[in-house]
Amino acid sequence: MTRYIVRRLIAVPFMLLGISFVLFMLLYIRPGSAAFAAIGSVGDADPRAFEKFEERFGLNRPWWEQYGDWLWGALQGDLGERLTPPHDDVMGDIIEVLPNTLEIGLLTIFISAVIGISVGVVSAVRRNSILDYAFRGITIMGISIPNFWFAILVIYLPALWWGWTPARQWVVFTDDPIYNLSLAVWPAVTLALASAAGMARFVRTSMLEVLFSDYVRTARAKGLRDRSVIWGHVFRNSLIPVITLVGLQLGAVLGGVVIAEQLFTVPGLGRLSLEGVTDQDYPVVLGTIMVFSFVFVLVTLLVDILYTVIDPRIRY
Amino acid sequence: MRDNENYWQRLRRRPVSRRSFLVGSGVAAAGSAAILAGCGDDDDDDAAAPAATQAAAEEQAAAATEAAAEEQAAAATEAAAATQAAAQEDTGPDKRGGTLLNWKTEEDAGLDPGVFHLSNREIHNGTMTQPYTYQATKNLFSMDGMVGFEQVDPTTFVWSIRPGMKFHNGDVVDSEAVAFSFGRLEKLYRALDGTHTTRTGYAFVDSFEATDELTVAEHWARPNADAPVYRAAHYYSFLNPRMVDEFGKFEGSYEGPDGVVEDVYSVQELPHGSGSGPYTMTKRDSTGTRIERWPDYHKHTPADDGFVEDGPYIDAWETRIIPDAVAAKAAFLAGDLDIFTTVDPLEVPEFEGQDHVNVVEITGDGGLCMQGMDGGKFHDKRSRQALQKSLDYEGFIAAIRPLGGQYAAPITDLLPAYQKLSQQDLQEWYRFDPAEAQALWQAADFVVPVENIKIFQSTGAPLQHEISDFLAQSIATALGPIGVTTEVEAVDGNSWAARAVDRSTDVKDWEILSYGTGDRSGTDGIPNNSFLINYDPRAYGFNAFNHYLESPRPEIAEGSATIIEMLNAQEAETDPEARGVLLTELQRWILDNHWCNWRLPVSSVSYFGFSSRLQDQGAADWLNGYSLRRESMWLQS
Repeated sequence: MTRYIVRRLIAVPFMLLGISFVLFMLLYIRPGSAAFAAIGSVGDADPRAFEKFEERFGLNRPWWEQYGDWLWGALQGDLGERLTPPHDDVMGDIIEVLPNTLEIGLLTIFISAVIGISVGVVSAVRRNSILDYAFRGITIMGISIPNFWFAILVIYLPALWWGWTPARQWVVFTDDPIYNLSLAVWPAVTLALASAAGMARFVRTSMLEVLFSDYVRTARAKGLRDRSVIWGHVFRNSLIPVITLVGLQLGAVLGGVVIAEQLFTVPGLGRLSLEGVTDQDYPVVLGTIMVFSFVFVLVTLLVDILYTVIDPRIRY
Repeated sequence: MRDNENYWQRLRRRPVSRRSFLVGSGVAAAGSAAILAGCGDDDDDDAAAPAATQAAAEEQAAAATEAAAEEQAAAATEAAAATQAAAQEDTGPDKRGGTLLNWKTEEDAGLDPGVFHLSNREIHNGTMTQPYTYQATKNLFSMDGMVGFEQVDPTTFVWSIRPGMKFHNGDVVDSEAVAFSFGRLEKLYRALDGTHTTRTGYAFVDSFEATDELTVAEHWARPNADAPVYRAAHYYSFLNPRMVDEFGKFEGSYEGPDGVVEDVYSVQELPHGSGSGPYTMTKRDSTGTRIERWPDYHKHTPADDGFVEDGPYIDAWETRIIPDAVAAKAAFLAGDLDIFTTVDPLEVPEFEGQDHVNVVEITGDGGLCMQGMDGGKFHDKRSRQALQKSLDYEGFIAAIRPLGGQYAAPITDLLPAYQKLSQQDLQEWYRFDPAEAQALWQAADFVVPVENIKIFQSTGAPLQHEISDFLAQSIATALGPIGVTTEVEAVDGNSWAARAVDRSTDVKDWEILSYGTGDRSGTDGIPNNSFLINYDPRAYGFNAFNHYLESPRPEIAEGSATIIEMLNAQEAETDPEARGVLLTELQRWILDNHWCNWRLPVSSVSYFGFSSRLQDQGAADWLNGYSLRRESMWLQS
């Protein structure tokens, strides 16, 4: 087990290196210029300003030099400075907003898991009942509705009807935990909708498979109570594919957080990343995506480790 | 209007209680679930402004010139007295106080007023003192940090500074500080090879001189009719030289006309003590900014229009960063914002029936909506004329401006002193005539053959797509029969800007540059900025449209020389009437020659959203950039 974890941890830097290279090349070959984004609004800017800008940030150098410099800095914890004024330190900006994104991400996973698992279990246990049909319908809706559109409705309709909107002034958790949670819960619920729906259907399917297995029949034959059978045997045995799904859903959540933070005015990593894309600010894009990637890689590793906890038969 | 409402508009108007919404939602969800669940059985394996100032405004019909400056001072005093009287009449203790809730889309790009002006205006306008404000719609100057100005001779302009002003750290605001603040703008511009300050505002100035403690003289190389209006821009804010000395960041070096090289510094963090305005900055982070009343703010006596003797009525400004338009609209509808600014005309009905929302209608030119032509390809006037005759203007107004549209001249009609072309006059040039368009196109000379017309725009505003599509369709209708095809290409803003000003070849990789949606008005009062700069062979004419003096196409080079001469002549003419005549000739020349750009019909009304509690907000000049400094705004409790 330890060897497996070490092996996986050794692979992490190589995975991140590959991601950073592909990402850098994608950013490098795209048309447009960061100089225009940064100083293009100067109506009668001297063309020398653009040259000077490119020189200052080394944008006039070959790609391998730019990438090499960035990589060397990143290895030392320096993700460079932003190309857009006032040229903040990218690492500083990421550290400032990362807790907000992690908070929303964790809340999303929590809400998604609570709703998804509960609905899935009830749906499986009460299969083909009215409740099951209702839940299956709702979950189809949840999967079908794009989360950005749902977020727009969540923000706009209460404002139109009741003069209230969940997109309010952001306050960090340490300043006012209760108020912060009242803000963070909305983007989390929006993002959790689709993943909870997907999870509910997955849990239901998975549980139905286990429900009719021999060992469950044996457990029932031994006279175990229904609750013990469901939670002790059926649920635990159907958890492995569910946990895989939770890990994979993190990717969708991290993707969705870009739009959710923009819509709910949360100063987070997703919004920072989006700003970087629109400003062609490649150090910001590289920095934020690398953090997303790092989190994703770690979570998948964590999921793999969790398998062994849930099912002692699994050995690496 | 009600008769034309559709179901959704009527539904929106219907009051919906929380309870009925929840009940309805529940029923809808359950119903949908039942229907959807019954749709298939494959689930199990599925993973997946005050009236009193009106008279004063009328008196100030002339632009600021030597003669006008004197009138200006008198009128401003009159206006001040009237405003003061009006204010005293209904000034109660209830006018003072409150926090104005504002928003912006992104964080600032630094706070030095001489560098960038990206998302930092609320800080400049609140924490710094400027010479005066200028309300373009009233042609009215209101004194802020100055108490007067005088055009001593055609090239000398003298300022009198308000006595008793202090910076927030207690340093005295004197003529040295003001001359330093004005003079550093060009130095920064040169050191950085470009800033957001308008270079034409100081390009004619030889020097700014502190002549005594409270007097600053500007020495000009040549007369400039727009100089007083330029000085109303917020970047002529008074900046404390000591703070620049102590906290300044080296930006580069500047070589003066005498050959002396000087290092130039900026204060992008704007440390406490940099400004002398009514507020001080108490918060600035990724969620927004906050400015709060500075208790030691100087007396504003006499208080001109837009100012109050004892400082602003409003205690604080809270500015949130809201990057998304829907979220901003929701926040405004929820009462979380006092200012929404421009409302899309088609969305105005959504704001009806909301008591706390005040949508103000402003009549006038809807702003920039351009069709720029590549002079590298369309060097022959007849080819440009053919394009103009290919547009169905009436159809355009009907389709794109359903709430009202008008023809637009090269100068906005928000500057009536300079815009003398009537709608009837403009119709002379705005005629859809496919037969003539075809004849002109076939007769035109093309150095680079044009068979396909690419209309190039940036993505973003949905209306921009509709405008470009209409252009493409109309040109295809007119010139299609002779084999000309059209297409629209839309790219992101940065790529669009890069390709718009790409000068690597003599011709662009597009034929028509479509920009501006023409649905919101605004002017700083300077004809060049509204919108002659788009035709200027030294500015966008050169950068974006290949209409410039050194063009390899002789017709373009010749036209450039002519228009530069006309532009210079009007800028130097300080008599408003004579300038008006020159500007009319200039516009006629542009339209006759189909020079460089063609303004498409624009909206004749614009809408601005404010909260109902915000009073005396100076709506008509909000987009002109000066209303943010309106200290007489107040919040109804």
